[in-house]
Amino acid sequence: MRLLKYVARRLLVLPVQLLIVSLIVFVLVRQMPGDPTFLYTGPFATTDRVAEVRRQLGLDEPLHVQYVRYLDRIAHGDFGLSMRTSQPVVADIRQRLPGTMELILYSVVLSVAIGVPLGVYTAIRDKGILNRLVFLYGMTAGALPDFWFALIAIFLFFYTLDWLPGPMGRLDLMLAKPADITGLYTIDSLLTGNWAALASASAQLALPVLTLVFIYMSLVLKNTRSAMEDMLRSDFVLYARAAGLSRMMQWRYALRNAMPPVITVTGILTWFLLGGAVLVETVFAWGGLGQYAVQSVVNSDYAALQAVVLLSAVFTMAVFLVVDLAYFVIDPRIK
Amino acid sequence: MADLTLDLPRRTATTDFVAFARGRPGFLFGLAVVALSVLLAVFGPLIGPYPTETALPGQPLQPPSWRHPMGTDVSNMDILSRVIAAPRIDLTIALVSTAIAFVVGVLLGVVSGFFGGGRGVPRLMSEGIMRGADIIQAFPVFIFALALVGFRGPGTENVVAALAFLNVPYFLRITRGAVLQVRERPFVEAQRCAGNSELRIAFVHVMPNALTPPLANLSPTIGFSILLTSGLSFVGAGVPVPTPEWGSMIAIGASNMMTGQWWTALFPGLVLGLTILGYALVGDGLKEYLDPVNKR
Amino acid sequence: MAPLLDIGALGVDLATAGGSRRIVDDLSLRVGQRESVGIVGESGSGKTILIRAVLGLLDPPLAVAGGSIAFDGRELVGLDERRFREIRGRDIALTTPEPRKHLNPLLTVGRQIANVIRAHRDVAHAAAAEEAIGLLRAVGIPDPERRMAAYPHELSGGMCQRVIIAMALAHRTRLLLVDEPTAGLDVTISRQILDLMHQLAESHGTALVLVSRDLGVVAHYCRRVAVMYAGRIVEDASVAAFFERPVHPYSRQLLRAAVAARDGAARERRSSALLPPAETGCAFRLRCPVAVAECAATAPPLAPLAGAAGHAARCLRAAAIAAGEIAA
Ligand SMILES: Nc1ncnc2c1ncn2[C@@H]1O[C@H](COP(=O)(O)OP(=O)(O)OP(=O)(O)O)[C@@H](O)[C@H]1O
Ligand SMILES: [Mg+2]
Repeated sequence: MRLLKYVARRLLVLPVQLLIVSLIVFVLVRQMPGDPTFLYTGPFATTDRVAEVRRQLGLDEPLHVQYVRYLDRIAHGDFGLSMRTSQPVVADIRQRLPGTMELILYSVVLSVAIGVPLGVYTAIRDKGILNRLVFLYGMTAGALPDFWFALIAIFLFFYTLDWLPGPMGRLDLMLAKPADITGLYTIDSLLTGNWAALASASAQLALPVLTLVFIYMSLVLKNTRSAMEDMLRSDFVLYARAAGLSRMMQWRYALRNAMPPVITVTGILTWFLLGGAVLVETVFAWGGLGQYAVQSVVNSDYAALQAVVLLSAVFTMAVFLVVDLAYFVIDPRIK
Repeated sequence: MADLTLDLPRRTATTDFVAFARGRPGFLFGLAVVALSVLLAVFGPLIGPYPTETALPGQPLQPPSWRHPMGTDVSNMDILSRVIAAPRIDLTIALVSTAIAFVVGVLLGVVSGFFGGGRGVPRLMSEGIMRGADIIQAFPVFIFALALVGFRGPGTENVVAALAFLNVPYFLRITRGAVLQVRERPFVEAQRCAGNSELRIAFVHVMPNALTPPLANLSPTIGFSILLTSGLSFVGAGVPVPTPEWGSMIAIGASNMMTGQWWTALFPGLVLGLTILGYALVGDGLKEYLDPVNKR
Repeated sequence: MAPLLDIGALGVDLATAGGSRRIVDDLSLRVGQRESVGIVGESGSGKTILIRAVLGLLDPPLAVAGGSIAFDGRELVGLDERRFREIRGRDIALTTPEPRKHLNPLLTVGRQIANVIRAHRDVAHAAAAEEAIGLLRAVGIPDPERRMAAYPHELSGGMCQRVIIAMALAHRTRLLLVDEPTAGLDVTISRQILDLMHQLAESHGTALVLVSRDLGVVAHYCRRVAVMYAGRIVEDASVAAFFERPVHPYSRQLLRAAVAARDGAARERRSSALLPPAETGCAFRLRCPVAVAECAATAPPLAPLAGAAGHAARCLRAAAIAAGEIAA
């Protein structure tokens, strides 16, 4: 009941946020130098033709009318045509979104699955060689460029050792795509029992996920460790100890209280990964949204770029909404 | 009471700092990196053994050797010379954009922190500033940077503008946090009683006392900006080739990595990573140094 | 009868960058079965550290440095963590100032009490919860069934303190260490809490060590009082003797200040009250009105007073003061 109310209240704010985000993107698009009409007409069009296209594009209207129209179009899922692929942008995105989701999903899950236990462990045992290694790792990983690390990983594991396939997309080119259920190749191939595709999709995922996890897990690890350290030093853990509770129970008290910051950092991690995926996707020719964004920028494909930016903001808001909900569930103090 | 003499060792800011730095190898390393990067930004393009933007005659993709300690790239440019020359553009972009973000962020942070929680127009302004920061941060950093550069067109000034814009909310929040604390101190009320105007108090009396946190964050932000610049350049949306820049050098070497010419991307990335690490370590060290808890 | 708790020449060190600092020094204290002893002393005198030392709760940079703590004949200094765990909560319990900060904010108080019960007895969750309800009722929390599901932030400070007391009494504790039970509570609530503690301790036959800065509280609830200054006990006496005839100059100052506070008299302002304890000789000498040159040379031991059984003071001039020869 409490939760429902909270969700309702949060969802009420969402449209406002969306409106503002769309406004930002709208303004962003008007940053373009020159007159976008010529992108459609070519530089040598007659003045009549130019005026006609301007009218078609609605560029002759006042700005606020343009904005309302723009809102109306995106509300109907119309993001225009991509000039590069000549497809509706929405279709392009639908095709590419699952690739990015798959990449981010595995990276987040692994970062949390490794980073949290490691952070907790190093907080509990504050000595030893593992702690020194983890400290060094935490310090350096965040400073390394992910796209560079990806290349090094390719050189090592593909070129030198030949353990993993090269950076050629999400699936072996000789294989057919698995049936489209969720769009995530690993899951779809698992569901349909398509083992060849599963093996290939997993192998293709290995290096980009390794890269993202290596670079961004340090965020989870460091925050978990410091949250856990703080909690282990807290008065209530001291009191639990004074009351004769076992070590295990003391750790559980601390861990539960360290969860809210860990959840926050998981949200931030997801947000970071969305950005990080752009570069890593480019290195691995992943064919996801990130690579799409880069191609749009390089080819001045504004309709596509605009849609990706908007989508990334919506995704961010969704992530932080989930974070807030999780927080709310865990911490009874939040009203 | 006569036998109570305060007998403290003489301490000056310099000896203090030296003593602090001496026990911290990471901090020292960071300081060295920062100093070196600044030197290279000034002299780098002049001291490399080979030209930085023109191909050398002969075989391309030479592995590291005495003549070319970092090898040569696919157009047979000397990688070492280019790596040394790169700080000029990378550091310039990072410094200028961070400086702009710092000034704007601190000013906005003072306004939003000092007038936050009040009433009337100042309060609206304060709220508006914060919501604006929220919105900017609703976009994933790199995608937003990409979009800004994408819509405004490539070019160094646009990279600077994008990074400056993205870093404003960061300084804004830090400054605001500090201002919220400073404005509760008694001296602020004293200035008010002395008849100073609110604006004057905010900028003349509160701001100088709230600068420590944003200052301590300058260095890591510069590092982060270098990282973003190189990322943008890597995908061709930043500094155009053939200007020596770490990210675009890595991009040039990218396809060679898959065919075994590891030196092409390894060295620029390694230097880039060390530089970012150095700036981050300086930030960590300064934060610790400036933290009053650590001062006895 | 052997004392329940027998602390002998206990020292606690604080390790710092420039060597170690004595926080508790040469501290001896006995607490008999069912006895109630008050410990008074200004902020920073080491009361909390002493209590934590008894429970083996000192972590680096703090550490016991010599001396002994015998509980019921068993030496606690050097006991390993696992053994200590069996004693904590079961034989020796603790209550703290700022009770809300000492409760787990994300767990219902019922669950926390049940966890304490289950720490030493192998009972099922449901049975422990049932027992917890009984404890909540015993500490005077109305509607205990409903309060079981409350989180600490939903309870007042006084209620939280009662929850802490419930946890401290979850087992047949022999010794209850009470640290500043009334800090942050208003006077009436403080009274209720103290009365409750006292009455429960009496009925359980639990010995009490009551740390407080409030001499009145100690006078009311304790049979004996020990005054701490700079990590040492400077006077140890029965409550009656202490309030009638305090010997140590520091005790006298405390008492005068307390009386002045009670009578609402203007606070005695002494710049000397700001002076730190002296490093050599008697720690109090810089603030002492009757200090002599000798006080700087030797640190006096805690010595029994001639002719007053059970009364000891750590002052070179104690005999003279007790005899009324000098006015301190
Ligand atoms: N964790 C710690 N680290 C370093 N020093 C400490 C620590 N805990 C206590 N001390 C020092 O030990 C001395 C005694 O502290 P303690 O908390 O026992 O005082 P107290 O008598 O309980 O005071 P109060 O009445 O304020 O509670 C103080 O000087 C304090 O600075
Ligand atoms: Mg205390």
